Amino acid sequence: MDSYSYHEEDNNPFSATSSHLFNSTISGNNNNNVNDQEQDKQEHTANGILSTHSHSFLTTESLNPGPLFQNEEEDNNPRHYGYPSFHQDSSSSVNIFGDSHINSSDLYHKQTQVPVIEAAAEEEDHHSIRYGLNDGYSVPDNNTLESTVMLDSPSVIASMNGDLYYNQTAEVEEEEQEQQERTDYEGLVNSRRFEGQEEDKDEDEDYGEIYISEAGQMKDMNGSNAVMYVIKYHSLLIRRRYSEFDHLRISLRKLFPTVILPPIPEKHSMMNYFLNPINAKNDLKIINKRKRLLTVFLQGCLSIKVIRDSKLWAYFMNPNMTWNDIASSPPISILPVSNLLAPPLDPVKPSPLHLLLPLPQSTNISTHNNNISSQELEIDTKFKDYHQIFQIYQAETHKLEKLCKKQKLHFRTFTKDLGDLGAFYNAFSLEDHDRLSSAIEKTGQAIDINFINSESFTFQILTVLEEPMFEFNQLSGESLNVLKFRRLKQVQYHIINMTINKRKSRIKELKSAQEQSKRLEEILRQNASQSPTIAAAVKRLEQGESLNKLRNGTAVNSSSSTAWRRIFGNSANSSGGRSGSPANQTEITTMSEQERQEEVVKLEAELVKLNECLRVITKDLKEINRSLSENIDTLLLGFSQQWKLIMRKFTSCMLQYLRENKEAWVQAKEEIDSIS
Amino acid sequence: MSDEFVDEPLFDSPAPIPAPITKQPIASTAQDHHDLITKQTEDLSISQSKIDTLFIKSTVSSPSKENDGQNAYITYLVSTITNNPIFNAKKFEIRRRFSDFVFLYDVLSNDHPECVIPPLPDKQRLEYLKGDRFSPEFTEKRCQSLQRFLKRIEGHPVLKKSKIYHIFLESTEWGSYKVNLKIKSDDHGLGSGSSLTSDGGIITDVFINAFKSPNLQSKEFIIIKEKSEKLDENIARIDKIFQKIMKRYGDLEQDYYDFSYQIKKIAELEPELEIPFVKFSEGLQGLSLGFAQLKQFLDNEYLISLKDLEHYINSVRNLIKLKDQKQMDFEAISEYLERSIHEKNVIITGGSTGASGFLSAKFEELTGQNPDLNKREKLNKLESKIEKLSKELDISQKVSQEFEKSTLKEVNYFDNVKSLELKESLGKLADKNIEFYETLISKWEDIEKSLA
Repeated sequence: MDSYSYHEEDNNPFSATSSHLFNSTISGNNNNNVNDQEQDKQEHTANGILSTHSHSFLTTESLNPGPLFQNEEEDNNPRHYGYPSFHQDSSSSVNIFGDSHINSSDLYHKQTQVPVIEAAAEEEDHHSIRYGLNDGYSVPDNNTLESTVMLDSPSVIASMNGDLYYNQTAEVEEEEQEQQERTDYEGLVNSRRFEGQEEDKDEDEDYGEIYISEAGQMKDMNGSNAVMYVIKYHSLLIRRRYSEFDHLRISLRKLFPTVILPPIPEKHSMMNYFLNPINAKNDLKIINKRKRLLTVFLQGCLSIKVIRDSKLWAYFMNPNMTWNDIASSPPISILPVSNLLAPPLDPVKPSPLHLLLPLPQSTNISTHNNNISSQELEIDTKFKDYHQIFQIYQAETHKLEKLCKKQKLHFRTFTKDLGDLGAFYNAFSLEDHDRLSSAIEKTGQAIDINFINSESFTFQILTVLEEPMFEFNQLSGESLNVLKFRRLKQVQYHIINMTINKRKSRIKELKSAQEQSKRLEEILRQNASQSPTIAAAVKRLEQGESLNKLRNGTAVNSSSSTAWRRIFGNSANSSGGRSGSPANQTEITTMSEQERQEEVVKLEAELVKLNECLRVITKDLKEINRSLSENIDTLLLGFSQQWKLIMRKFTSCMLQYLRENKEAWVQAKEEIDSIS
Repeated sequence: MSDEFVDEPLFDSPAPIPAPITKQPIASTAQDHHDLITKQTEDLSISQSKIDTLFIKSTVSSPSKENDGQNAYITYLVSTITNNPIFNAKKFEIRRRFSDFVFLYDVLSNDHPECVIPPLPDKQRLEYLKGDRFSPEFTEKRCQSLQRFLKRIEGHPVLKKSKIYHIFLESTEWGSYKVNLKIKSDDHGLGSGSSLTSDGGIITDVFINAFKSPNLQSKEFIIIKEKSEKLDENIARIDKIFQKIMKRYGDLEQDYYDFSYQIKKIAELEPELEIPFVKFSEGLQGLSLGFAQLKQFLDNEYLISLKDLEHYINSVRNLIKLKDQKQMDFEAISEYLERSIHEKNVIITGGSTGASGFLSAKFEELTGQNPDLNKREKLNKLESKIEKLSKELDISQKVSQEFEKSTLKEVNYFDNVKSLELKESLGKLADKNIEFYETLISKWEDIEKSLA
């Protein structure tokens, strides 16, 4: 895996390797741009979403002077005619260095015409071999190729800058398909960005564009080697690892418990490691997938105002801050242990009262015995509906994702068979079949074109259908999580409410017991003076009571360690029916007047605190309801838009696929018909 | 001319001559109709100039089941359009069952051993065991193969003039005609399975000579053999890949059906987008249907045409083998003749024929036989033998040469048919694909509009 290793020289394109190449270009006085032509052809060739980005991408791709990585398996796949492949064109990379010396800001504004030089004969040969079999792509045979290429796309420059900055640090030479994936990916990023920008205009806000421009083995800020993802944000380039994205997301969830966060790609499971032992191809696949999905994640984050404006986001987007720096500074370092014990919208500023709130263990607390206002009920049903919607969404999108995977798989095997068939027809046509051979060849070509189209279509199923389904699924799951958080807060509210009611009724009981016992005492005192047995009974009662009191004390101490339990523990777990309550019940009649008095005072003090808690939780709940329903509404709106987008994209991919295939068959048919 | 091929070389020699190839009994059957056929040919030769513009076009369609239970069978409608004056009408239809086709095939192969009789689809097929032979799927496929069979005869310069073929197409008395023929062939133990026996005959002959090949292979035939082998191989491989692709179509059909269904469910969650969702779902369903149709086309038409072509190639290869046999006959005779001549020369020169010759001479001396008398007798015997052999050699050479010529003609004809059929099947494949894409394009363009 030589190509994975870090090449010192790669880091600086203007150092030794490149400068001599540059000189050689200059000496020729012209730049040859066959390479760009190739890309033009590539664009014509096959795939769906293509953008000018493919220029810069493929261009820089061919820069890499490092050892070539080629996949054996792919090479076995027969391809018979002009399916462009660049990775061996070391000679054609020459011109690019020339280009890159032109000031990029100049390029940004004016269309730069790149002059042309004589192509090396060797290169020409290369092309004619590559394209010779296909009329459409064949390169003229004359040695002087006159061609100009416009470099007018800002994005070309932008990503060229980026690429040169990090210069393919460990850019693995990719096989053709991977190249296509890249161009498709660029297109994808482009189009998603484009959609994003559309939305921006609606909100009259411009928060710029963000995407992963590069990924691969490179050194992190501490100098150790790792797979890094380079975030391109405004003019910034930030290198982060996957795990840092993961941490960021975990922290964001704690920081914004009511925000439905965009998903990040899943971690490798241990199972996968066993099933697909790490190899270059798998790694590359995973890296490319992450590149796409992390781009979507970043774009999602950027579209959420609270995240965009947060300190954590700013830190993460700061190329000079390592994750360790970020993790040890305020937003993360002061995150509450539990979000339930913190204000929902600003968890890093908890009030002391929040620490007093109960920590519910499950959402299954019965609330029916609480009198709920009609307004509360309405809100509740609304959230219950949301809950149901997301549950269905989660289930259905999961099925959809599975179906996408299946069709992708079937398309892939279908593509492979088409490849075999096309190859075979082509071989068949080479055997002497007099007048038929051209028809057979054209049929073979049609099948080959179908093969190439199917290959890119398979990839589009992945990016246009499968991955968005994954996002839907994850977002639904995330929404359910956030809804669960609300539910827990609600349970919190009910616990407090119930405790308050308990306390109140207890005070009431105590007070009435006080009055009763006063009356009883009155009678007893009257009777005791006449009966020694009754006097003895009164004494016994007093003794028993002190025993009870002892027991009660230990019960309080044994309750759990949270603040809530410590303070309100003896009756907090009202539905649990712990020993405290029945003991209390029996106590009441046997308590002394003073004890009752003390408890009433204590309970009233508790009530004051409880009411404060209730106020806090009511406010929390209100905030959550408001923020959550806002977020969910936005999300559902986004879902609708996303669906539209998916359908539109898939339709255009589909149409392109169908049209190109049809065209190929029509040509084949013409050839067949022309046989006499 | 056909007599030369039908008649067995009258040759009884101790030399290991290959077993007779065409069976005498069949030849006699053929003889009975030979007059008819020659007469027919003469009729036609009058209007020789017109022959090129004469055509016979038959289609095989509408399979239908006759009778029920044990004796059930399928008949196919054979409709013909022609401008050939030997027919009573220009347009006629007749119902024939598969065994009628087999009968036609048998008679043709008896009458024209020098021709490649277009093969019929296998009778021994899985469908017979499964009891599916009345399923429309099976009979439709068979229809196509039978039509292809007739089409190949139609175009064949010799076979298309065959009387039995004309009777098959038009005669309402086919039944009695067949019975008469059948009785005769039954006399010789040739029942309905005659095609198999004759095939079997060839196979055993081939087997006997499995390790032999003619010494003098003409370059032309070596190339022809190579080509036909290669073609056979290629067709078989394309067939195999298409089988796979057919399966993929099936998978994709199911996938897009499921996907379409699942998308419809999502439409319930997004009531505002219901129309686009429903449209989208319909589009996916269309895709599923398209794959199903492509699959059906491959299964019912394309693969059948490939299979039929494979059969045809095999028939051609069998004919080439037959030709080799004729050549080997000739070679064997010429070898025997050479030996006899050599022996004669030895006797004449009286030279020592090695140890064995010396011993036999000594033995003759001892037994008191007159060596001179013996010698003369031997010489006489040998001379008559040589004479006989020379005649046979001439005949067999003629046979072999004629056979070679006619085989070349057959191969050429086959090449034509092959090109035509390949062209047709490729054209159909392209058409079906274009149809598939066109239907879907218009469907998805609609969807695109509804999404805009």
